[in-house]
Amino acid sequence: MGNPFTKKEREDLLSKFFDLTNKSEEIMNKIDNVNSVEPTEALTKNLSAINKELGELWTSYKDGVPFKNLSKCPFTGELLTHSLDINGLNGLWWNTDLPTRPEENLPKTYFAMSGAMKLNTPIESFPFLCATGPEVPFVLPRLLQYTQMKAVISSTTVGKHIVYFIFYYADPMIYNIERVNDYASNSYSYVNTNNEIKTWTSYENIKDFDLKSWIENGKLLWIFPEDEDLILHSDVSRCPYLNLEGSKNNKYIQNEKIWSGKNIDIKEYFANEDTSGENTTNTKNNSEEIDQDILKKAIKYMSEGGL
Amino acid sequence: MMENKFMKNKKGQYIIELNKKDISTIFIDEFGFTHNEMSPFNDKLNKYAKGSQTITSEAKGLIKDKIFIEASKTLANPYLLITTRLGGGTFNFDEIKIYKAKNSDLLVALSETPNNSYYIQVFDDYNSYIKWWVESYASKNDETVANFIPPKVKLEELLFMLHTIDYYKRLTYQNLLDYKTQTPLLAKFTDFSENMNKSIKSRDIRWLLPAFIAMTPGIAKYNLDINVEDVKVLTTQNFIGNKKDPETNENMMAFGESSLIMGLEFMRTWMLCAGFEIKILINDKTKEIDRFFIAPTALTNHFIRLEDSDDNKCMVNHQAYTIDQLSVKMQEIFEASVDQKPTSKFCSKCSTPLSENAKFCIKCGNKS
Repeated sequence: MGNPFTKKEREDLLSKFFDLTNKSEEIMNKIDNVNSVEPTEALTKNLSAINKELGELWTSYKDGVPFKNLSKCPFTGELLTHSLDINGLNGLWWNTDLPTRPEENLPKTYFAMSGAMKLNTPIESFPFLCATGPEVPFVLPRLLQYTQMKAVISSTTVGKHIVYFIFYYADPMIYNIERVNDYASNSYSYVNTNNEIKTWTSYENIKDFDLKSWIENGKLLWIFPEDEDLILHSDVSRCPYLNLEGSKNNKYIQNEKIWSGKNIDIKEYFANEDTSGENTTNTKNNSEEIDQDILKKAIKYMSEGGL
Repeated sequence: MMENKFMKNKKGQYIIELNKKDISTIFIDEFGFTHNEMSPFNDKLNKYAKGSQTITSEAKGLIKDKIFIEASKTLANPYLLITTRLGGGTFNFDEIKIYKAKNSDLLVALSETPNNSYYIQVFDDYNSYIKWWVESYASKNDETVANFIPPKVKLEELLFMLHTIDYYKRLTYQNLLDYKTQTPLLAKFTDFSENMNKSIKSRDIRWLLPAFIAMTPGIAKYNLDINVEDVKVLTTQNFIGNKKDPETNENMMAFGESSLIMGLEFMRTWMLCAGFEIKILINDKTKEIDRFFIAPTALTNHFIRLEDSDDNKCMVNHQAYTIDQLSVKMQEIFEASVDQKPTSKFCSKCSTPLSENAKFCIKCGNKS
């Protein structure tokens, strides 16, 4: 972990970085343009110099991203410290296609990092794509179906926005199953059984936004927002993450524009599965019991390779 | 007349009864074993003069048994000792010591009988022992439940939480006896704390807090320092809260979600508990490797692992395990213990012996 940049250093760095990125694109357009009057050799030389400087800025940014205690392992009590650009979404950390993140030193029980974000105005301006996920937190039944897997939800602020982290932990570790992309990223890294670091991409996962039952059955623990001691809790009555207002659709931001992408909510996915035959005369009217039925069907469906 | 017997019980386990008076003649005169300081018979064998006693006919039958010979080798020169206590709730107290030698997979359990003899129970290896223990005593539930005591907490804080669970039971029974229906249950803070002192001193293993203290071998070594700050964990983890008594308007203690659920669980379904302490003989010194406590209920297996911290203090890691999780965790602990080799490397934080190329401590996770 290097020395974290100050706000001013970060602003200057990013300003220069985006400026040089624009210049780089302009030059590449000129090179591609057969009608350009500027000599290719000069353009290429200029481009090379800019790229070199971009590389240095990129390294400076990576070295300056702060680390923050974000979670705690529910099996060992070990703190999880992760890099996070808390100053705003315009940081390169938040570039979904090419996230700039330093090497992490994570607990050996760490399995995956997922997240959600409640966006507030003003939205920062940046040229890259940032996928912030839904506005309310969720869990992934596909992962929590394993007995040795648990999740912990915590939250902090990034600029004006509230980010909900859901970290997954496994004890003992599970190998050879697909994980989930690191939050706001399009890939994830993991350590395999040969102790090698590998990178992979996961595609859309079915989400469950109803957290209460997962807390009740011990699969999800929570930490009070901004609790610096990161004390883990398992009671439902005080959990601040239940019934939050916000969209369940994924949010995408680029060049100050926000748009949504439809998410797969487990209840909606299976809600219409069987509305005739047995279920119409089913004596179960309790919606919670029906929801549990849907959940069990979903897990069975996924484990049989339905996705 | 008492006889040495070897017999198989209903589960196919090999159990031998050994007269105490035969130990020296068997181990010294017949087998010629050397013995180390971890041997349960070390003192007795040290005092015995070779050839000073005559072997009995019972012992003559026993010394030909192959399993008894192997078990005796283990008992003469063990390098691993597991002290386990079983009892609490509705069960009486019992202590069994289990031994393992370096060149043998056998686990040999030894318990004293009231008849001046020992029962020796032999397990093929630690996996067999764990399988037997889990089948005999663990909760069979395979559904996960909430862990209201997430890691890690101080030992002193845990004692408060265990007492709150007991106190819920106490007040419920009191209401029953008084034909009262008090909803919610309320208590005075002073009564709660006074009762905690009594509970700790009582060693009455029918209650969870004294059972935890009595059943966990070696817990006396920790420098227990209970102070007011430790009570905070009860509100932090929603074990208790404040509530006004509707009749007197006095500020009272009410049970929170965590103690309501755990209180009911333990009141209705807790039958027994067990404590384990694992020591090894390494470089001629006895070192403590691990210490944990298990309290099975109908819902789950409460697993409490005690971890040494600075100044002879203790942090505890509580988990609520399904039957499979418990088996896996016990296997992990036993495997790490039996794999201990003579080493000059120890954890700088908790002094656990480490393998020479270990990067982390297997017990506390400290980077080595």
